[in-house]
Parts: sequence; C-alpha cells; structure tokens
Amino acid sequence: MTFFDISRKMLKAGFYKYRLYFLCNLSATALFCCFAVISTNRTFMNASIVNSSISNNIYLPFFLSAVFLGFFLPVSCQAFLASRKQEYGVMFSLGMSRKEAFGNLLFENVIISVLALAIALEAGTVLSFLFFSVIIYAIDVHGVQWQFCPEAYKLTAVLYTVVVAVAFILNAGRLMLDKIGTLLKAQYRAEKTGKIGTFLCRIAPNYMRFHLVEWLFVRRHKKEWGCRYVLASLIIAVSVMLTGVCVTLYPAFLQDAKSYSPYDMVYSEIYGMNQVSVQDVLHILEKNGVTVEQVIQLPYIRDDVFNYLPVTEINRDFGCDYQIQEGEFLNLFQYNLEDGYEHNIQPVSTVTISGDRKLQSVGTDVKILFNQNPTFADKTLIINDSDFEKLSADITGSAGIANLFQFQNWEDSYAGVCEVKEYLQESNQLNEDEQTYYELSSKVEKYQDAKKSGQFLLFLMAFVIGLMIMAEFLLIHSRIQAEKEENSRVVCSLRMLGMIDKEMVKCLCYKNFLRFIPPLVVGTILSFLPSYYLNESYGMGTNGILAGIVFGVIMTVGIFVVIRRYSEKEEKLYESGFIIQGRGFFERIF
Amino acid sequence: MYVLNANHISKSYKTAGETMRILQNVNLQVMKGEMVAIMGPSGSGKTTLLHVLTGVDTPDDGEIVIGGETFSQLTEEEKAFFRRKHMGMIFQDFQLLESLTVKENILLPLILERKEADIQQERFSRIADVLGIEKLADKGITEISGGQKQRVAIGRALINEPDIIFGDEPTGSLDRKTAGDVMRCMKQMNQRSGISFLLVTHDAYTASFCDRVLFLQDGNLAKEVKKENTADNFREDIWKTLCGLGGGKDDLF
Repeated sequence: MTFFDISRKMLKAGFYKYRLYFLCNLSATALFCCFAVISTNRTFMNASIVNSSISNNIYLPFFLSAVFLGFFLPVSCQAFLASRKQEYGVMFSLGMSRKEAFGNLLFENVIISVLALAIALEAGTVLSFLFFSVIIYAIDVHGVQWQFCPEAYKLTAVLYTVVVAVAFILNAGRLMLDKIGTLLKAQYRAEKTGKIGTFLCRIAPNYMRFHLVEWLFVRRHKKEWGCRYVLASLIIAVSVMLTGVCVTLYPAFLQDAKSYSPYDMVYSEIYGMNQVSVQDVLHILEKNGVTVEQVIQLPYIRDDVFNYLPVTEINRDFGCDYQIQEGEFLNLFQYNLEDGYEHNIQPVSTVTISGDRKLQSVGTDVKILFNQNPTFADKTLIINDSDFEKLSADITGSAGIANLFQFQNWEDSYAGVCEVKEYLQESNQLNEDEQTYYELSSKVEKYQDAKKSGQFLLFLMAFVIGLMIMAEFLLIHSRIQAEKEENSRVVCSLRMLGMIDKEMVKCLCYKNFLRFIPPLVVGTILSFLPSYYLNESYGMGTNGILAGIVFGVIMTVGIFVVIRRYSEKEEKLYESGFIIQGRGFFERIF
Repeated sequence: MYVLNANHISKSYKTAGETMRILQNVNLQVMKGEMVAIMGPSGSGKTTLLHVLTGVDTPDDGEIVIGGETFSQLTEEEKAFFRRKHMGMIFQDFQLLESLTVKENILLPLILERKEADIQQERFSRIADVLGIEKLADKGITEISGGQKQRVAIGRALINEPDIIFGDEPTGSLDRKTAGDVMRCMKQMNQRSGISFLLVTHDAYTASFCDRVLFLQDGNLAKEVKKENTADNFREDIWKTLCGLGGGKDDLF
C-alpha cells in the first residue's frame, strides 16, 4: 500500500468536501467570466448600438462579481482546509512533515483550481453566449453579437490565479503553523453566539425552540457567518436596486418615447433634400390606412449651432405666448427634465446674425414643442419674425421647412411611415448612410425602439439578478455544507434524546431560516436609500423602495419554500448516516 | 539506559495578561523497556508535560533527549522524521481516520516511511495477531467498538517499532473491563518487544499496570511510587499517594 493509495481513498471518502470546494471555485469564476465577456464585448458596449444607459448597468454586477470572487474563493479555501485539520493533525502526530503536507495540499489545490478554471471559462462563455443569444434572437436587438474576447479570459485567469494563490498560501500557511494539539481538537471547536442569530431568537415567537436551534447550530462559526452575511447582504442590496431600476426604466423609456415625439411623423425639407409634395406623402399614408388629422409646416433656419424659429408661427402652431421683439431671442431647450438624463442647459446671452447684427437673450424656456430629428441643430432660438426674414434673406441655403404630421391612430402607422421613408430616400437618390441625416422620425418607431430597449433592459436585469441570487444562495449553501459534519453530530445527539423526524425538520428549518433571512432583510433595507435616489432622477423615487419591498416579500416566500425542501433533504442526509458513518456522497451514489 | 531523559522542563502560558506556570523544572527519565505512568490531580500539568515531551508543544526551558537524540533541539522538519521512526502516540479519543480501514490506519506510519508492501504485511500480521484484531483488518473505523479502536491505535503506535510510546489517557474513553484488556495488551507488547511506554492517566487501575508511577502536583514531580509487591498493594499505594496530593475520588476512578 502506498501513500498514493491512501490519498486516493481519503479523497474518495471526503469527495463531498472536494466537490464542494471545486463547485465553489467553478461557480464564482464562471460568474465573473460571464460578466467579463459581456462587459468587454465591443458591440454591446458600443453606445451607437446599445444605449449606454443600458449597457453601463453591467459595470456594477461586473464589479460585484469580482468582489464575490475575491471574497468567496478565500473563504471556501479556508473552509476546505479547516475541514481537513484533524486529518492533518493525525498525520503530523504520525510523523508527516509540514513540507510533505504542504506539498500534498498544493498538489490537490493546483489540480482542483486548474480544473475549475478550465471549466469555469467554458461555463462563463456559455452563460454569456446564452445572454447574447437571447438579446439577439428573442429581443431582436440588432448590431450586437457574441465575440471571442481574449482580454476577458485573460482577466478572469489572472484574477482567479492571484486570488487562489493568495488564499491558498494564507490558509495553508496558517494550517502549517498550527500546533498538532490544536489540529487534533479542530473537530470539537465551537464558537460564541452570533448577534444576528441571537436577535432573531429573541424576537421569535416560539422562543424556546428558536433558542434551542440557535444554541445547538447557529452560535458556532460566528466569524465565518459574519463575513458571509455582509457579502450576501450586499448582493441582495444590488439585486433590489436593479429591480428598482427595471421598475422605473421600462415605463420611463416608453414615456420618453412619447414625450419626445409630440407629433407622429416629422421630416425636414432642407439643403435641397426631402423636396416632395405633402399631397404625395398624404396619399401614401392614406393608402396604408393612416388617417392624418393635422399637418404643420414650420419654417426654420439652421446654422452649425442653432435652429432659428419665427415667434409668430410658434405661437400660432404650438399654442405658445412668447413675446419677442426685434433684436431679441429666447433660448428654447426641448427636454423632459425628468427623463433620467443629465441635461446641459447653458443658455446663450447674445448671438450675431447676418454678419454684424447682435441679438440679446430675453430668457430661457424648457419645453418640448416638436419631435427631435437629425436635421435639427442641438440648440433652438426663437426670434422675432422680422429678424427671421432678414436671416432668411442672408443665408437662404440653410432655410428649411419642418413637416409635422399628427395621425388619428399613431400605433397603426408603422407601415405608412416606412413607405414614406422609402419614398423620401428615392426622391433624394442617396444611399442608406447619407439618407440617415435626412431620415424622418416617427412616434411609432421611437416607441417600438423604446419597447425593445425596455425588454432588453428587463432581460439584462433578470439575467444579472438571477446570477446574483444564485451567488448569494451558493455563498450560504456552501457554508451550510461545510458545517454538515459538525451538525450531523448534533442531529445524532438530538435523535438519541428522542427527537422525531418531523421535529428535526422543523429544527433544521429554523436553523436554515436564520442563515438565509438576515442577509435578505439587511440587504433590502440597505438598498432603500440608494434605490430611492437612483429612481428619483426619473421622478419615481418611491417606486424604487416599493420594488425593494415587493422583491423582499417574493424572496422571503421563495426562501421559505426552498428552506422547507432544503431542510427535508438535509434531515434525510443525516438520517441515512451520511458523514456520521464516514460514508461519502460519492460512495452512496456510485 | 534511558530511552527518555527530560531535564529542567518548564512551561508557562499567558492568559488574559497573566502568566500561568504549568510545569516547573521537571526532571523525568524512562528506561528502555520500562512502563511509566504520570498521574496527578486535574490541572496539575499532566497533558502539558506529555505535549512538551512529544513535541506537540515547545518547552520554555529544558532539554529532552529521546533515544540518544536531543529532541528538543531539532527543527520541526527533523522532529517530524524523528517522530515517524522513534515515537508512537496513543490518544484518549483514538484519533483514527474514519475514511480508512483498520489495516490502513495501522499501516499509516509505514506508508509515510514508504516501506515495501511485504514489510507492511509482515509487521501488520505480527501486531494484529498480538492485539487480536486480525479479523477486523478490512472493517471501517465506525464499525468497531471503543476497545477495538484503542487496540487499532496501539497497533498504529507500535507498527514502526518505536523506542517509546506516549499515551494520553489511553483508557479514558473505555469501561473498566475494556480498559483492563487494552492495558494487558500494552503490557504484553511492552514485555515482548521491550518498547517503553509513558502514559498519562487519572485512573489508578490503568496506572497499576505500569512499573512506576510519577505524581505531578502544581507543575512539579512530587512523588514516585514503584511496583514492588502485588498489583493490589501497588494500587493501594497509588491511591494513597494521590489522596495525599489532593486528588479526589474522581481523579482515581
């Protein structure tokens, strides 16, 4: 019999420990790799393809997955090595040298780590591929595609290697420095009560039973649980915040699409382009079943910086009451200040037109009068009619007419709008790229784009929240698994004292309840303030808090259901003699 | 000839800013083939002394020579290799690896030494025969009784034919009958192979199997009782000495 035979046998018997450590490494790394691949994808992060307000949301979970990796791997390494302390204590007492033990541990860790990294990179790739497949094929987002990003894999491999190496050196080093006596007694270690557990026990109605559970199971491992509670709470807080963002952003997108498109279709006749008869356009629309209720033809002049609009036409067509004299102008900013974006409202005080004629500002107004269109300049000035005429005479080349259409039912106007679009392109005889500048804008297209963006955002958030919740579950589950050996002794003692199966399941339910619920409660409460401020920029601050509460309630119900099943399984595991009898999961299954 | 020669051993611990002297200038010798017990009231420093002698803990002062080698001056690495060849250890809670069979547990020290399979088999057969555990060879540790576990632990301590075996309350987890069986086993191995034993125990019955009993009190070796007459007289002497040192009935039985 050789040392290799013994190691193999010990590995087989303690397979569940290795498997758990391997799965912890694998899942944390796959999670990070997935977000690394998504956030380094050039098409996804390209603002011209995916709205940056959506794609930038990936940075927070990406950062959190890095924190998760950086925290979770060391604690799982610590738990893995701690579970083997007694084994190594015996080996040391029999004459195994610390060098030999370190070599053994290093060998095991290298094998597990390399295997976990290799599979995690693939699992991360598959996850990111699924993500991109859904947004390309199910949500129909154009321009985004899955890409092989070597930098994402490099980043994952480097971060993983550094974290694993540091965690191993620290934990294995500590084990090597431990005295033999300490290692031999590792299996009987117990710690003092945890504050959260004690607090929950105090407020629980069924005091005695909770106290028993807290006393038997929860008061141990205070340090390990403290760290996990903090990270799990952060994960929950981020998940709740993202839920709040979803609740707010989706309706905000749709609202913005409508508020920035007060007219159902807009195109400009400018620079000699889009010179078509309005009758022809009306005819096309009518042919497609679109009833036009109103057409406004608004003359305007534009230069490199400003749109100039005549005050009389504005007051007449848009129901305004601006009083602007000759030599004056009004700064008009066509923004919805509650659209969630930051707006650069910097009015100008004077402008010079027709060479040397200076106009003075009489004030500023923020109001959306008509739709945005590529042919309009960024800033709009409303000027007196006489100044407008003089300006027209000077720079006739930049004078244009904005054609604004109001339909009876804009939701059914898509086909008509598309045909008008084609008609304009044909009349301009430009290719697609050149035509982009002169393209018409319509409410129906904007609305459909916003809807798609919203669905895309919802999927993105559901994807991120799903992975975050999985990470949180894994964080807690792995620790419960690590405590199994110790808990099996407690369960065994309780059985000897006459506790029946039903009572045991209840007892384990309470124990697991005390493990899962505190991070959920703390995380949800933590998220309230940031969630409120995040959503307040859309004028929906309370929605963020409400979303958090709903999320918390749903999660609590979900956790209750999961805990029940989880505890039944745990009880069966102890009942079948798992661990108590020294039989590993591997042996029972195979 | 001394197998173990410990001179001027001192050990103290710091707890809550206070220094507690556990061992004070302890001198202890064990001859080759001798079986010695260390007794004393609870808190007298028995286990600390054993930990210091086996290198589990380091002494503040003093020298420990085992089999002619100054054990206390060895590095951790050298201590490990020395322990492998020259020392055996038996624990109250057995400290057997549950993932291995009885045979594998006993063979562990030889496996660590990379001994050939035929040597392993030969030594195992010899020891299993003496300890009466041949039929248990392929059983799991969880499938055998407490007494059998301690026999396995004794077998593991003996397999590398050490100079001395240290036992920390070797019968502490066993009933009187099983404890007697285990001690008779140890005595037999001691007499057959000439291996020395140093046992820490609080049980006068267990100590009565030894040739000599040393009594610790407040970190000092206070008394020594040698086996000169019958076992009953020896037990009586042990009991009287321990009572004189302040040990209660609980320390004896």
